Amino acid sequence: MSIDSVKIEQPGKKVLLTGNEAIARGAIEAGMKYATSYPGSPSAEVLDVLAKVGNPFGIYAEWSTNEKVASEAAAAASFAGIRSMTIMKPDGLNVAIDFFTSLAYSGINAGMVVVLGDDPSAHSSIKEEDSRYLAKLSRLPILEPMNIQEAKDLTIKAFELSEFIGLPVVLRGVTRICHASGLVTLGDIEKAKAPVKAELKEKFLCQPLAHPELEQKVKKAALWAENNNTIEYSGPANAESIVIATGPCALYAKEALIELGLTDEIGVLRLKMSWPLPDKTLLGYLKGTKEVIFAEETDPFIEEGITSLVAYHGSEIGPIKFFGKRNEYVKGPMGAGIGELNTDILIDTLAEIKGIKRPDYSGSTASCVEHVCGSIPLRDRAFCAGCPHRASYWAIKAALSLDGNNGFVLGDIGCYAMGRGPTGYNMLSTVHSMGSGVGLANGFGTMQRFDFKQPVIAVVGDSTFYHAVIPALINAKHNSAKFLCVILDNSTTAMTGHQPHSGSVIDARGVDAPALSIEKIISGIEIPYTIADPYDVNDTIDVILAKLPEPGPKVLILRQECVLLKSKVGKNQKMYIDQTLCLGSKCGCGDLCSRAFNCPANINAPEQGKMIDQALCVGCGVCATLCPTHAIKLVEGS
Amino acid sequence: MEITISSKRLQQEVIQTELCTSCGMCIGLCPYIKSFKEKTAFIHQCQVDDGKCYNICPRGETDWPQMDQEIFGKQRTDHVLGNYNQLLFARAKESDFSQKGQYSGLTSALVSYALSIGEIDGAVLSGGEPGKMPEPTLATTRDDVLAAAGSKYSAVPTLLSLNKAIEEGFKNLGVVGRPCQVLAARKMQLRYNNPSDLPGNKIKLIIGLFCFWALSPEFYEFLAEKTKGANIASLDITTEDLVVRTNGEELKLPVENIRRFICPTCQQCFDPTSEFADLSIGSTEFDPGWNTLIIRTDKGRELIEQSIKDGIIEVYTYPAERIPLLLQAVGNKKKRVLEEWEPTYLKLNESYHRAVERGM
Repeated sequence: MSIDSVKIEQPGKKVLLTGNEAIARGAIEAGMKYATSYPGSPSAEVLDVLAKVGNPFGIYAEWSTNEKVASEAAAAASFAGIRSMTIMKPDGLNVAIDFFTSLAYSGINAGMVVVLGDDPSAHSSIKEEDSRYLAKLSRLPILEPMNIQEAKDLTIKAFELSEFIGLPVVLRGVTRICHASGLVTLGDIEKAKAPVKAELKEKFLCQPLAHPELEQKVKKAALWAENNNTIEYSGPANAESIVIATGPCALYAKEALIELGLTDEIGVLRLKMSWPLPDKTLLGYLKGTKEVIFAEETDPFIEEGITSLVAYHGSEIGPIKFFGKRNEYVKGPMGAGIGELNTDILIDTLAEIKGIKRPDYSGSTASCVEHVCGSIPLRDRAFCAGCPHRASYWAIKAALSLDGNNGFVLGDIGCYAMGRGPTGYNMLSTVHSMGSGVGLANGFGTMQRFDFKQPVIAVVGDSTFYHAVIPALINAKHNSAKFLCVILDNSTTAMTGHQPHSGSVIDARGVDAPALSIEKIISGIEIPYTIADPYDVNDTIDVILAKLPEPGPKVLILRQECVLLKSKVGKNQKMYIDQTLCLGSKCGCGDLCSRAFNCPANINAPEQGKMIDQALCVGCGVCATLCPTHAIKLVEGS
Repeated sequence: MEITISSKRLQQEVIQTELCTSCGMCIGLCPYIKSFKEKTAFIHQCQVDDGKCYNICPRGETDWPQMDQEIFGKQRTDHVLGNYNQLLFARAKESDFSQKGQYSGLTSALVSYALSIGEIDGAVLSGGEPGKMPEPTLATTRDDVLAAAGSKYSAVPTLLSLNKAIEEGFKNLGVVGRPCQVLAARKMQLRYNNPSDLPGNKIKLIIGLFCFWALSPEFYEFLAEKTKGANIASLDITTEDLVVRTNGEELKLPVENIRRFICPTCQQCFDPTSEFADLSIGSTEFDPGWNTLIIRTDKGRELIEQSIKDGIIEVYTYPAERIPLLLQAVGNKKKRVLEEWEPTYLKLNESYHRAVERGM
């Protein structure tokens, strides 16, 4: 599994790829030339890969400022006759939705694929949104790969479908596709080498009169689904019970049936395309079926589509008993429609429906987790050792306590969203979408007439600043909203894997690019700003205290590079603890470094007392600044 | 369930109830308690039982008779002025002190003298310019003392300088403070002195001021507004007036105008004359050329005797006709506190309550 495998020119060769790499490979094989994205987990690597390997294939790849711009740029390539791709997570589709609902009306030219990385169970997201509803709203047909091979193959199919109907097509990956790895048989990439020429020859106007044509395109997509084997059935002929599944849930269902010994009784009908549905083919399978169990993540999307279809055709196909999320048969530990499905959940579901005893089996997810992770201690989500965000939150916490006026902090999306938890001293009062902290601050900051007196701080990341904060700051300036916007500038898009952003000196391909200065933009909006180093905690506290009472919007840029980037270059300082000075848990300290400040590199060892974990410590020196007895010291000459 | 974590107790009993006097004694003892604009704040929860912060807090539970016993070795007979040796009028002989200090500048003269003879190696004072928010200062020279001379009227957390000075290695420190600060410093001295490297052992002289209340920092905004930003040369608050001298002008405002700035905790103060100090110093409310001096401990007496001998200060018999006025002012304040507030931090014995019934 390596990024180089993505560009191998040996059709028929089997290589190990991640789902994200497979999607990138599929795009290359399909002759896609123009890719845009704003990084979002789990699909962030698709553009990373395309940017790194795309050059020989003439592929343009960019990290865009936000998903709306990314989608618009990709659509322009399609308009100009070039196959394009834009990659985002559901939160990104929310940002771009206004464009997509319009794009449906104007239509497109060359194939355009929207890769949506949904994150059921929200492993690396703030919510587990099922993007299919918005895709449907924008009339984007949705393809859902079941495994890694299909991630590649359906990507190619998506381009074909897109050009067939003249609309963008969604390829929906989930975390277990994007981040999983599997063997992929490579296809021909001859097509990728063919030169392309961009030229705009038609008009693409969104207008209400286009609506009938759009609905015809949707019908055409359904017809395509009928004719392109988008439904796959495995199981006994004329089974009375079937599981209808999408994506990897089909695999979970098959495994569950094997464990339950029900493979001769229950079939699995898998939909590669979850919208629009191939009604005719589906009805063919449903006729004679008595029971249908739905397996999909996370919302009852095909469940609603198919039960509605059956409602229209009840008299032709006879009564069917449905088991899904609506009647809460299919549900994980958190409830129906919440979290990922897996084999265990489907075993429970099928056992309950069939009234049989759940088997003990060694391959259960729980026992696998126990086997692999049994000895790993639980730990909270936490900032890395030396993360500047920890120092920033400590300073904000101290400043608000000292200010003593019940000030609060509005959060945003990024590593620093963990400021809601113990690692960020539970500082955040709100977390919503990109830029929303500053938007909310606009509201709080203009409520003085309602006797609102609390100081307001909004924290944003540098990448978020470019993405969605600038309009909110413009609003704040124009309406004199009183708050302090703290930009936690770690010089990268850290959470999703250090992608460059509009303030970076290189672009997605590693080529020199003009870096936009945050402070120059803020100067342009005429908002006063200060730049401080969050590692200098005491100075940062003073700056915040001084800024809070000032009228109108203020900006504080807390600038310190992400430690993960820094540690790649090698650390420059080593710390140690002078045990003769360390107070430990006694009065006067009370375990400041390991308990209160809570940096993972500060260890409280039962025998040795306080220690620095040299493997983790990056030598930021913040604990040394905070240590009340100056017991934490710099190793001279390190 | 009784709370044992000291910082939690301090927050619940003292900070949240607005009983904190902003004395500054807990500030800097640990990394979690800090001060901003004369307000004490906790920046993180601590988990230490029996921590210093609560034990030295003047508004933490305080057994008054026990304090008397520990400091003076006896119970008081005077329930108004507490244990003392002599009540006098006193004044600094050098004009530098009377010009820069409040009234005769007695306090400044004594501190400067104690520094000069090596009785103390540093003095914790409230410094800063008149009319501006004062700052905790550490004085080591006569000039430092003169620079900090003059009364300060807000609750400056002076004692944070004491903690800092101890950390910096000063071994014989003097403290000049409000009665709450005297109590805090005394608690530190009595409770944390063994072994000898503990901070309490570094406190050698405690001079207490008379104080009926301190003002919140908003007072300075009020002042700036009233003086229209003019430079303030001196401030005095008498029983009737706030007297502000700017360059060339004198502004007199009825004292009623500033009552709203009085810190809430001062209403529950049982100790207007710094009963646990070595020496207590106040105005005479009579003759601005003199100060009232109460000599309480042997240490205080020795310093006074020596400074008289060296010609630094002079003393005068307290005018007999003034004594009832002093007793009345102090006694009424104490009586009011007990009757109106029944402060929970105060642990008193029966004799105190009987004294109140008698009219102190």
